[in-house]
Amino acid sequence: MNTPNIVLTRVDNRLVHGQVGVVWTSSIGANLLLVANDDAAKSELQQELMAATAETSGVGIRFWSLEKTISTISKASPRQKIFLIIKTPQDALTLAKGGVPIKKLNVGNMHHSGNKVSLTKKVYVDQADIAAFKELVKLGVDVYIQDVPDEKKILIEDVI
Amino acid sequence: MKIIVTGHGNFATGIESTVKLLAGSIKNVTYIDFTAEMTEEELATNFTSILKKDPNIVFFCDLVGGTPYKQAVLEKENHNIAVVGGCNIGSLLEVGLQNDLTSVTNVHKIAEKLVTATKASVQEFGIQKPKINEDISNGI
Repeated sequence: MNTPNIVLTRVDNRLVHGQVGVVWTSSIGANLLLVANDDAAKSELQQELMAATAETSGVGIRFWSLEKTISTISKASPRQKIFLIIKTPQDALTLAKGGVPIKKLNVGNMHHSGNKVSLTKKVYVDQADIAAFKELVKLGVDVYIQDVPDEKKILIEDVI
Repeated sequence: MKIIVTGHGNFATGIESTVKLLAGSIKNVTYIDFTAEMTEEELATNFTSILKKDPNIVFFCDLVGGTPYKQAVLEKENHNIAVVGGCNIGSLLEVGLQNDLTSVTNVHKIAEKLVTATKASVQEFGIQKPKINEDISNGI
């Protein structure tokens, strides 16, 4: 059992798309994308779409449920530089509470829906999101909003 | 070194807008359009003024054999440059973000990476099943 080498964890409601699969993956030097999402773990089409992006970037990709991520991520080899991608702050909290060592949480796209209010142009939240973020911060996770790598980080505590 | 993106019409600034949306910016990449009202000499002047500041350049051109490409190749006589044509946005992002271009001087190495990344990223969806292998004997 090792501590898995998670180079970055990102919340993105599009999971792996161009920005994530090419831009972030390239700039952090990850070699394995781990999509921790219960729906994606079951959807062949979603997997095929995201795997195409990973393959063109020359990195590996896995689609695991949250449960499998919690139980299995510690089997990662140290040479695996993992980019963990999740859809919601609630999922991030589930993983963190389950013992997945998330130190930094990059908040990317959380698009507008229902009556969510905006924190930035790309990040919209409701009360449940805010509660999850607060709890993550309490657990010692460095949570920040940053859409693209050359943009300045905005600490979540400063905006919620 | 620098990468100069150049092409017919607004190819270069079009690529720039895509980079901006996806990555914000890529360090050491410059975008030069060759628009209808421009002459070849004007394009060459733009190239030369950049080459004066940094002699190590990879030209990233829209078309092999088009005017921006040919004009770039002419600079080979006096400068340490490489010229690629037909490379795509994915290759520019990958190569531009994975390499610290400031410290690189081997322009041909970067040119080769752009061509390789482009070839690896052209496909029709669904024709080749991507590999999602889970060999967890050595890691996950």
